[in-house]
Order: sequence, then structure tokens, then C-alpha cells
Amino acid sequence: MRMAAVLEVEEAGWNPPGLPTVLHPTSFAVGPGERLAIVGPNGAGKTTLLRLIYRFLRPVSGRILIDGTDIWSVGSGQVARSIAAVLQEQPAEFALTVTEIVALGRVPFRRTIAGRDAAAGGVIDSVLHRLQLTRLGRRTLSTLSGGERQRVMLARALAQEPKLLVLDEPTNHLDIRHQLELLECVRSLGVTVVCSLHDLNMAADFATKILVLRGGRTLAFGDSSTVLNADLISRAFSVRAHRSQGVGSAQSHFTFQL
Amino acid sequence: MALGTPGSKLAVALAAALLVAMGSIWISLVLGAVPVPPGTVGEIVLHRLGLGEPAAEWPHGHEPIVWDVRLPRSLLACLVGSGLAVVGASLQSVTRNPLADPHLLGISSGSALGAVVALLHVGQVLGPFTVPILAFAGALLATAIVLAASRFTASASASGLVLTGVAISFVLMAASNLLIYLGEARAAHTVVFWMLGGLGLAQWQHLAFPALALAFATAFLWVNAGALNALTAGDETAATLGIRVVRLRYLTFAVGALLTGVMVAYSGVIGFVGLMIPHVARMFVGGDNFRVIPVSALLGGIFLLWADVAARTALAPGDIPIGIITGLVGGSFFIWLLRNRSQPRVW
Repeated sequence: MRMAAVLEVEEAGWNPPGLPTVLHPTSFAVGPGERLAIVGPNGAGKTTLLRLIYRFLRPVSGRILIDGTDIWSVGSGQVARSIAAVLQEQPAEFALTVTEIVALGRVPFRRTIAGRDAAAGGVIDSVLHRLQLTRLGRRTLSTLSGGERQRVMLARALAQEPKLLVLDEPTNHLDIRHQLELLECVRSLGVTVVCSLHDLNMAADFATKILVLRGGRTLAFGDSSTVLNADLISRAFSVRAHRSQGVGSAQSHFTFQL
Repeated sequence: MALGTPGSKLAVALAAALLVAMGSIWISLVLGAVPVPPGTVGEIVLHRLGLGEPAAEWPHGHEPIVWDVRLPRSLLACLVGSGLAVVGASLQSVTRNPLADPHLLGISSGSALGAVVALLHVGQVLGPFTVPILAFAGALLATAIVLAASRFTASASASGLVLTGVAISFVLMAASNLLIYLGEARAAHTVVFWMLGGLGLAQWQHLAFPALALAFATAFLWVNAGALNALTAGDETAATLGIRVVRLRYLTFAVGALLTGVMVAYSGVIGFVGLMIPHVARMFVGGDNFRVIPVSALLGGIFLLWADVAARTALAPGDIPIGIITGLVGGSFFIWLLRNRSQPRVW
């Protein structure tokens, strides 16, 4: 259906003009189809790093490369055809239907002004179907539940047919079943994913790679199966962490205390 | 285009609104202090368009009343109503604020200040068009100040721009009020009348600028309808869709200021049209700006046309400031809108 991108972050750092550094120069690479979870305490620079990756902020130092191309060496429209993001912003209630919101994902593909690209109809239909939104196509956002809304936001991003999908706390405000369903759906896409998550156990389950940030610096980066350990989590989050073997699964899980 | 597609829905809505607009203009030519029979109206208009023979039996005065007084006035009402509604629709999208309207730019206070200066203090220094010219300049100046201030305070976000607009609006209004306070009491009456809006000065030769400004602004906004839709999803999401958010927002403000400035110069400050009409349009055709903008234009024109008919017939031969009519209708409408907010839309 779509190809997956290689993401390379080379010494990328950012600070607001005239203010202290929020993200110190950071480097890592994510291969095609891999899923990177970014974890860290509040204020660690997770959102800033994501904003650099989806080209909302321009790095003060370093570069972000998609398939070897610096995302700031090409136009925002071209980047929008490779990178899609599901953010925590909520759309304003202006009576747009689910289908119309998902169709926003085709904005970067418009050939003629105010016209639509030829593939739009098919892509929108298949994305709606994939996320089980077909039945809700004519509803407005305000009539949907939190889980349905988040599916609409994901569908909007998928309509961009991205090679890299960026997710900012996608499981926030969802109940546990919807959290698992959403992550399972993202996992099944096969695209490269960068995702910030608060739940460390969920991050370890979902991701293939994990980046641990604290105070704008990288504490650790590596395979999700090996990188997290009790000592690292204790340092990153200023808690006492313990690893315990999960009941009925091979997966070990972390528990936390102050 | 097949039935049921968005395009056909738009075509049906536009065709219906256009028919209502034509009918409304016809009726507006009939109604007034001197009623003119509908048939006579038709004959006069056809004759002046070069499509019919002049009839010998038209009562003296009917032809100039219909052609020189009522028709330009009705057309100006349509243009101004369309313009204000289109500006309101686009500003509501770029600020993500359902209460946004041309007043939000500080435009009305800016143009009011220009008019106050002209009417009370400098006189007709630029000839008979001094008031419109200064009102237009005031509108543009106010918007320039709002945009500059939003850069100064580093608040180019949707809500930042709204708050800046409100703040500048208060400052300019205070300046106007000071000038009114310092000015001559009798002239202040003229100012008040102007600030409540009216189309009584409409003439054929005044229609070109509003028509051009409306065509330009509507075309710009319609071309950018997809981007305006994307902006309602949020600034960062719109940016990930390849839209240059701040640039589009500033451009939309500038185009809105230009159009509102032209309209205000010819009609005074008319409230509530820009606020109300886009919401009505969305009730009919949903939230897609590709449909909202043209439908708002037609509905705004029709609404202001009827508001003007009410303004000049309710106390005929007197002419009530049209702002009083739109304020009455608009305020009542808003209560109704609040009640219906959570209920499903018509289409």
C-alpha cells in the first residue's frame, strides 16, 4: 500500500529565540517500518523533538532527513506527502463531517487549485473502511466519542499515505481497550512510526526502538527489548522502578514507586 | 456531475440561492414609499437593459425611482451583504473562532475613526469622497496595526490575533469617542448615523469598486477553501498538511480588511451580517468552505437586501439606519443559534 521511510536525526537541537535550549543536539536513526517510542518525564523535550520531525519547528542546529533528504531542503507540501502527524490539537467545531476531515489528508495532493487529486476518493474510502469509520462518514466530530474522534484523526493522517507517521500521545484520554486497538492499528500499517507515549510498559510492547529523554538530552536509545531497565527508568523519571515478570506472558513489566 | 456528490449539492444550493436573490431584487424594486407594480418594474429594467420598448403609460417618476434609486441601492445591498458574509466565513475559519467577524479586525473601529476625522475635523479635504476614502484608510490602518501588534507580542496564533484585534479595536474606538466628544454636537449626529450604516447614498457609479473587491476577495478565498478547511483542524496539523499557516492567516486578514474597508466606505458600519450569515450557510451546506464561501456570499446578499427593504419601508418615507435592523435580527438569531448548537444540522 505504501512505503516506509528511513528517518535520520543528525545532531538536531532547538531553543526558542533568545531562550535556553529545550532540546540539546540529538542523533538517532529509525529504519523503514520500525516504530520508535519517545519516552521521558514532562518537559523532557518529547514534543519539541516531534515538532522538529514533522517540520513544524526548524532545528537551530543539525538536520532531519527522510530517506536521505533534509526536510528543510524541500517545500512543506512535499514533506506533507511523506510525513503525517496525529497531534493533540482538537479541530474547531465548524460542522465538518468525518469524511470531510479525513479528506483534509488529501490537501497536499491537490493538483488544481480547489480541485481534488484523482486518487482522493479511493484513498479516503479505503482509509474510512480500514478504521471502521464508513458508517460515521456523515457525522460531525462533536457527535463522536473520544475513541471515535481519535480514529478520525488517525484516518486523516493515513489519507496522506505517509511513509512516516508521527503520533503525539495518541492514547491520551482513551480507555484501555481503545488504547490497545489504536496502537494495534498503527502497528499493522507497516509504515515507520515515531510516537511519544507516557505508559512505559505500553511503549515497550508497541515499539521496536525506544528513545529516553530527560532535560532535553538523550539518556538512552536502542531496541525496545533491551534498552529499558529499572535503573535507567529510575534516573529518567526520578522514581523507584522495579521489573517484574508479567503473569501469563513472557513480557516483563515495570512497576513504580515514589 | 452525479446527483448526491458534493459538487452537485453545491450547484443546487447556489442555483436556489441565485433564484431567490433575483426574485428578492425584483421585489425590492416594487416595494417602497412609492409602490411600483411588478410588471412595470420588469418593463423598466428590460427597457434600460436595451431588451424592451419603452411604454408610454409609465407614470412620471417610476423609471428614475426604479432604475436610478432602487436598483443601485438593492445591488449595493447585495454586494455589501455578500462581502461582509464572505469575510466573516473566512475569518471564522482562520481564527477557529465562531464569533469572529469583520469587527474583530478592529476594522469597524478603524473605519469609524477615519469617518469621524472626515466628518468632524478635516472636512471635505479630498472632495466629495473624503468620508469613504478616510473610512477605507482607517480600516486598512487598523488591520495593519493589528497584524503589526500581533508580531510585536509574538501572538500570531488564532486566539492571539483575536485578542490583539479586540485590544486595538478598543483603542481606536476610544480615539473616535474622544474626537466626537471634542467635536461639534450637531455634526456628531451625522457620525452616529454613519456608524449605524445605511445604503441611501447608493449610485450606479459607486458599484464598481465594491463589485471588484468582492470578486477578487471571493475568488481568493474560494481558491484557498481547502487550506481554510485544514486550518480549522489546528495550526500544527495544518502545517503538517503543507500549509503555511501564519502566511495564510495574515493574507486572509489583509483580504478581509480590503473588502470590508471598501464596503464600509460605501455603506457605513453594518454589524452582524459577517457574524451570522456564515453560520446559516453551514446549517444548509455543512462546514466545507468550498461550499460555505459561495453560499455565504449569496445568503449575505439576500439578507442585507431584505434588511434594507425593511429599513426604507418600515417608517417610509423615513430611512432607518440599516445597522438597527441587522442588530435586531442578528441578536435574536444568536440566541436561537445557541439553542440549536448541539442539534444535528439540516442537511
